Formats: sequence, C-alpha cells, structure tokens
Amino acid sequence: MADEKEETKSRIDGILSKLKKDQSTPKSPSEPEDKDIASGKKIGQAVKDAGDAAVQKEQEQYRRQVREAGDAAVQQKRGIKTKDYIMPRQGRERPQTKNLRFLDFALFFIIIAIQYWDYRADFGRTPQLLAMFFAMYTFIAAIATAVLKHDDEEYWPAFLKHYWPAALFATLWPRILGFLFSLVPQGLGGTIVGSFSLLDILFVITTLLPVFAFMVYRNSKSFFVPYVKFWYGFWIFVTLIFIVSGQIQHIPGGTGVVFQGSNGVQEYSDFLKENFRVFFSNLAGFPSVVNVRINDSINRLYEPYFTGTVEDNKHDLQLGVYLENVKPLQDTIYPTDDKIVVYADVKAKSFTDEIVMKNTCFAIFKPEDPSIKEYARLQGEVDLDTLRIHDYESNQLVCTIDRQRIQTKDPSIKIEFRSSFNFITWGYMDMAFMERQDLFLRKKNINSQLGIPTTAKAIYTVGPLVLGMADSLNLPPNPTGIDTVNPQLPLFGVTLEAAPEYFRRGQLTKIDKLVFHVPRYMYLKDNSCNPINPSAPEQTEDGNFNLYTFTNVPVHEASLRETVRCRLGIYPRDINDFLGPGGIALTSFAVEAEYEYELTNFAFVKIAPPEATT
Amino acid sequence: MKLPLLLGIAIVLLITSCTGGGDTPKKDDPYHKGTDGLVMTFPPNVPPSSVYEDDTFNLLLRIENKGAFSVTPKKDESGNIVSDDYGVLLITTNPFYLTPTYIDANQMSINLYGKSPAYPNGDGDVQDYGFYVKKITGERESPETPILFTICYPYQTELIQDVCIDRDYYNTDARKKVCKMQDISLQGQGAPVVITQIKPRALKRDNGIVVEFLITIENKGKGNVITKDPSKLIESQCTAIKPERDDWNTLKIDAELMGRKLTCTRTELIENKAEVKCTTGDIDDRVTNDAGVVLGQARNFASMLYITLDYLYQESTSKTIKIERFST
Repeated sequence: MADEKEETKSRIDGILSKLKKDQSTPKSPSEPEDKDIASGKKIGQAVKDAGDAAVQKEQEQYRRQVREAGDAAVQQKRGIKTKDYIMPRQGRERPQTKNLRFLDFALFFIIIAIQYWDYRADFGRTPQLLAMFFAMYTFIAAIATAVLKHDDEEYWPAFLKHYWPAALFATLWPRILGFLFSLVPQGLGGTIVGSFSLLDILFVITTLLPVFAFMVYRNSKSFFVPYVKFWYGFWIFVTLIFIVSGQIQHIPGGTGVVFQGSNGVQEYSDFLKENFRVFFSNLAGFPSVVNVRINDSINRLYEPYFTGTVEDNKHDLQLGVYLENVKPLQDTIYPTDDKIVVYADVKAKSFTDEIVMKNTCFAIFKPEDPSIKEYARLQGEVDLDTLRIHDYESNQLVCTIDRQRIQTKDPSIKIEFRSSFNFITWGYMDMAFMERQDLFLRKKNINSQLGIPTTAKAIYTVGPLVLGMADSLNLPPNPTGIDTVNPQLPLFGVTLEAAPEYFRRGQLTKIDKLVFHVPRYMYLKDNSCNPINPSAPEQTEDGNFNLYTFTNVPVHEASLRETVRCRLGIYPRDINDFLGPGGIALTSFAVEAEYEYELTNFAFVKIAPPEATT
Repeated sequence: MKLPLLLGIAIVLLITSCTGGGDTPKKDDPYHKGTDGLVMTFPPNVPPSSVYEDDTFNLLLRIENKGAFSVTPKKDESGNIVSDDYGVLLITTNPFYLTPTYIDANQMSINLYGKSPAYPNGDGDVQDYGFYVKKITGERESPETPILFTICYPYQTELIQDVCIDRDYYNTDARKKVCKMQDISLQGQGAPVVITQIKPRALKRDNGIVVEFLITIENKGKGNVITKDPSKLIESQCTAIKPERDDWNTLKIDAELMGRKLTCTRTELIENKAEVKCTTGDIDDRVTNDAGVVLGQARNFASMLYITLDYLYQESTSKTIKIERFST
C-alpha cells in the first residue's frame, strides 16, 4: 500500500509541474480535461479518472506539438524553404554569393580537367604515383569542403552519411566483386570477367576516387549541383567503359592473375598496403617531394622542354621490348611441390642494333617469422637469363623458384620478372632555312610552296623513352630565317622521359650515349651544352653531318626527365653555301640515344595451406 | 552595186591596216589573259607514292608556259640576239635522305614560247631528274621528305588599253565629248604580275595639261618578283649571293601614250601590291608626236596606253617523297 501511495504521489507531482509549464503554452479549446485540471479544484478526482493511459496520451500529444513548433522555428531561422532544398531543379535559385559561385565553377572544371588529363595520360600516373593520386583528390575534397556553401547543421551529417559509406564501399568492392564473379558460370562469360586482375580492379577504384570530391559537392547547396550530379553519373559510366574494356589489357598483369575470392582480397590488400606504405613514406618526405616538384616546375620555366611525336609503325609489330603475359604454370602451389614455375612472353624489335636482355625473376613474400617486417626477395632462375635479339624475336621466359625456400603464411606470393636491356631511340627534326630578308620578302604562302609545315616537327621512334627535340615553349618556325651578319639559331636539345606505355613498367637506369647529328655547316658552340659537353665532333661518311657524342649522361633519380641542350652556331661565311643556289636549305637534325632500361612485370601465385593436398 | 562593194572593201582594208603590227600585242587578243607564267606540274605516278631506301628513282617535271610572253631569245631584224631570255631551274633536297644523281640537260636553259597563234596552249617541256635514296639513318621506319623545285625566268606583262584624254578639265567646253575619263579595272594579262587598275587624270598646267595614270599592279601568281638587270646573266640574278640581294619585289615599268614615253615612279611591290604614277609631262599646243600630229590641238580624245612590266619571276613547288625502309 505504501508503494502505491508513493507512486500516486509522484504522478501527481509530475502532472502538477507539467501543468505549470502548460499555462505558458497555447492550448486548444477542445481540451476540457486541461481546464478542469487547471482549475485545481478536482485534482484528486482527475487523477483517479484519467489514470495512467490518459496521462501518457497527454504527454505524447504535448511532445508532438513541441517538436512541430521547433522544426518550423528552425527552418524559419535558416530562411529556406524545405521544398527548395528537396527540389532544386524547379527554377528557384539558392541564395549564394557571386564569389562562391565562381569557386563552384572553378572547382568543378578543375576536377574535370584533371580527370581528362588522367584519361589522356592513359591513367599512367595511377600506379607509380598512387600517393600523389590520393593526395591530389584528398586535397580537392578538402577544398570542396572548405569553400562550398553549406549549412553547418545539416551539411556535416550528410557528408558523413555519404562520403564514408562511399569510401567503405570502395574498400570492400573487391570482396563483393569476387563473390559476384564466383556466381557467374564459365560458359556465361565467367572466364572473361574473371580474367581481370586485382590490379585492374584497383585501377577502377582509384579512378573512381574523384567521386569523393563530388560526394562532398553534391551535399552542398551549390547552384551547380544538378550539373555535378549529371557529370557524376556520366564519369562513372565513362570510367567503366574505358578502363574495364580498354585499358586493362595493356597494364602489367592485366591478363595474368585471376581474381578469386579471399585470395584476391589478400592480393589487393598487399598491393594496397604497399602503396599506402609508399604514400606515408612520401608523406614523411613531403618537403623533399614538393621540392622536386617545384624545382621541376621552375626548371621548365627557364629550361627548355623538348617535345616530339612518336612515329607510327605501319606494321603490327612495334619497335621496343615487351614483357607480358606473366602466368604461373599452376594456379596453386601445394606444400609437396618442389618448384614454382612462371612463364612470361618477351617480344623485341629493333631495326639496327642488337638488343641484349638480361632477365631475372624473384619471389616476393612476407616471411613466416613475424619479427621480420620487410618482404623477402628470393631470386629464381630464368632459363634465358641472357637473350640476344637481332631485328625481331618473340620468346618465352621460364622462371623456376625453389618452393621449399619459401616460408610464408600468406595465401599468395608475388613473382616478378625483371629484364634489363639496351635500346636505342632516335629522334629527328626536319627543318628548312632561308636568309632572313628573303624569308621576309617572299610571299606569305611560302609553306605551301615548299610543302613544309609552319613549325618544325620532331619525330621519335617507338621505344621505352620519349625523345623530344622541339622546344615546347618556342617551337622552331619553318622555314627559320638566318641573318647573314649575326646569325642566331634556335637551341638544339633533347628531352628524354618514359614513354606512356612504359611509364608504369620500369625505369631508365643509364644513358650510355647521346649522339647529336648536326648539319655540316652548323656546329655546337663550345662549352654551351648543359648539363655536359660533348666530345670533339666527327663527320659522317658523306661529310654532310657533324656528330657530337655525349657519354655518361647523368640520370637523376628523382627527376622525371633528362634534358641535354646546346647552343647552335653557323659562321656567316658559310651561310650562302648552306642555303645553296636556291636560297633554301632543307636539312635534318637527328639524335641517337643509347640507354639501358629495366622492365618489370609480375604475377601472383596462390600458396595452398600446409594441410592441403593435391 | 559596185560602189557599195568597193566602199565596203575600202573600209575593211582601212580598219585592218590600222590595227597592230610588229611585236606589239594586239588589243584584246585571247592570249593575254589569265595570271599564269611558267607552270610546274608533276605527271601522276612518277615517282610512285613511296620509294625504297638505298635505291634510285626518277622524277618527271612538266613545265608549261601558260602566259603570253615567250621565254626565248629575242632577235632583231638582222638576226642578232637583243634579249637572251631563258629560265633556270634549281633543285633542293635534304641531304639527310636524298642525293640528286641525274639532272636534266635543259635545267639551266629553259626556253618556252608563250601563248600565240602558233602555240595556242603555250609551249611545254618535260624534264627528267634522278635521285638516290640514302639508307635510313637510325630506327625510323618511313620518313617523308620534300624535293623542292625553284624556277626563275624573265617575264613581261603587256597591256594595251584604250584610255580617254580630256583636256577640258573644268568642263568649260559645251561641245559634245567623244569619251569620258574614268577608272579602268582589269583582270589578267597572261602573266603572273597583273595590272589591275588604271586611274587616269588630266591636270592643267600653264599652257597645257599633264596626264597622269595611277596604275595598280599586283602579283597574282604564287611566286615572287625579282628585278631584271639586262646586264647580268639570268642565273646569276636568280641565285644572287646574299646579302647583296635587295632586288626582291621590284620591277621595271615602261608606259607609252601617243608615242611618248611616260615618266613612272619606282615600282616596288609591298604585300604583293604596288601603285605607280606615270605622267606624260606637259602637253601644250606646240608639242607634236613622231607622226607630226599636234597633240595639244585636241581637247577630248581616246588613245592607246601601252604598258610593259619587265621582271624576273621566281616560283617554287615541291614533291613530297615517302621513303620506305627495306628491312621492316
């Protein structure tokens, strides 16, 4: 009984305190109970009559009223209409300052420009410069977060709601994809779909990273949101079409490792870990990276950068060396197996010199001993460790690795082929010269008369390196006018950098020799070359060209390209002979670059657990 | 019946006897039209579209005189050469790819008649040249290189044009005039350099008038004009040693009205166009021409204006050769 009394008393106290509050809030006239209660005359009777059910109903009704009033007040305070926010396309422009709209446009087009650049560059920077890739889009997302107009109360929840699920989805995608692949029967395209390597999928994911910035964007209150949404969808479509169908076959391992279930996730995880390791190590050395980039940018402002166009080989077989189709003999290696055997196709073509390839292979795995953090590298044996190729050769390399020397708990290991080889890339630039005054006085259609382009075009042969010869900031005019009294000639130089198709496959290790072919009446001015000077010139057999040879050209580890350039000269007394009786000289400049390049390709091999049997 | 017939014959004879004569071009003849001089073309498939390295090939070049002036030696009545006109052809190749091996014998002495009743389509010649294709240096598979042909030849633009001379500059004479002074626009005269406009003007001076012609000259061809110096050989002018050459785009003009040579200003083409002023000098009542006609006595009359432009013309054309590597 005492408990019942206490309970009844506490209820009455609660109702009394609530009623005091209710006196200050508007009441509906259709609430006779409230009036009776407010009168305070029949408290005991009211408690008794209303009971617990009535009190609960009253409290619920009260809470609803307060919530509705509160929502309306918040929206009124924010000065926007709910309909505007939900339906932005109905012609009601959101309030936004002019500056913010400019930033909207600027950011939007920057993102599109970067993506277009990625596409044009064959997504070449994605694997090797993954750290830069992550950093760039993180930076863009940060800018978007900082500059876009948004509401503090709703923006951040929306950001968290969309951004991080997207990131999580990207991370888990391989697992989901692997599961889906496992459901596709072989006869219905399972083989085709399943032949994508993990690296391919990683490409797709990393290419989709820019959508993170869009995720931020689409949750803002920007005027441009509808267009962003369109681009968002369009870009995903384009990415899937181009990346999956077009690019995959050209990337290392593109047709090698089959993505399968948990093993695939492990491989992806390894790859991701490795790249994140690179990312964080780069982050640690960020000042030096920035320094290199800044120096590179500054150098390109005052140091010439020479460009060129690759010559199209009309035959299917391109010049160069290609290491592809890395495949294990067995998909799974069992504990009882003695050896791991992996194949790789190698093709090479050269018109002139012999190519000497030195081939090695390694097994890369995480040692069983947990105290060892570094990955172990176990060298295998390649049957054709030295391959000499004249003209053209297509061959197969076989790498054999002692299985018993690999002690790891990982379900897969990486087998990497490395081929070091010498190669020669040639660059050519055909030019016409005329006496300056003659050029000025002749009719304007001189180029159509001579059948030459208006600017000199540099061509280089196919190979691991791009060899540019035309000054990108100051393309040499064609014809070039020569003053007979004080002749000034354009710079003669060359820039070497990795060709797009080799960009993520290896690196330039050494430049053995550079030979500049200079027309007979011209010369390289003494000590005018940078970074090194050539030896004394020699003449070609026909005497039409002077050959300047540069040896031991430095290769800078952190540099993306190597440039060698010189001042070109001609003696005034030689100009008439150079131009010839017709007053026009047609001539060519050529550069021969002999260098060594290291090409890599790899595959993953599954390692069955100790208890597994064949 | 005989009288009208005789009168008709007499009129015909009168008309025909008064037109043309000697080397002077006939007015409105069908050959002094167009803007072509010597024209170079390449017969199809010679050489083929591509040639192999370390091999030779021949190239044919057709040269035609599609203008009205004959690029031939000019002789006087006694057979002496008074103007040794001929054209020269210069070939330029890139020594990185090609070397000339055979040069046509007529390369430095091109003689072609212009359009005339004897050569209604102009004279033509086909020249033959041989080249050696060097082995391709380096790894390039199929480079392309132009072969440049530059032709240089003497040429003349000749014009005979009816013009009106009106001494009644201030319209004080009430008599009916036979003609009216007005600007004349022209097309081609069968040469690359064209007289495109003549603006006549009569200015009264003390005892007579001065007739002025403002003549617009344009280079309508594809090439360039070089001053012709009769005292020098054609080839030395066409291949003049630089930098002494300052004779681009200038030409010599001769104008004649009523048998009197006009005085003309320097003719220099700027942006392929020149305006020249030719004046008669004072014409007063006492002046007569070679035929004894007192010019000053006529106040309004039509006459023939003879203009000759004399120059060297240089033009280039090219043939691009694609070289194929033999061991691909």
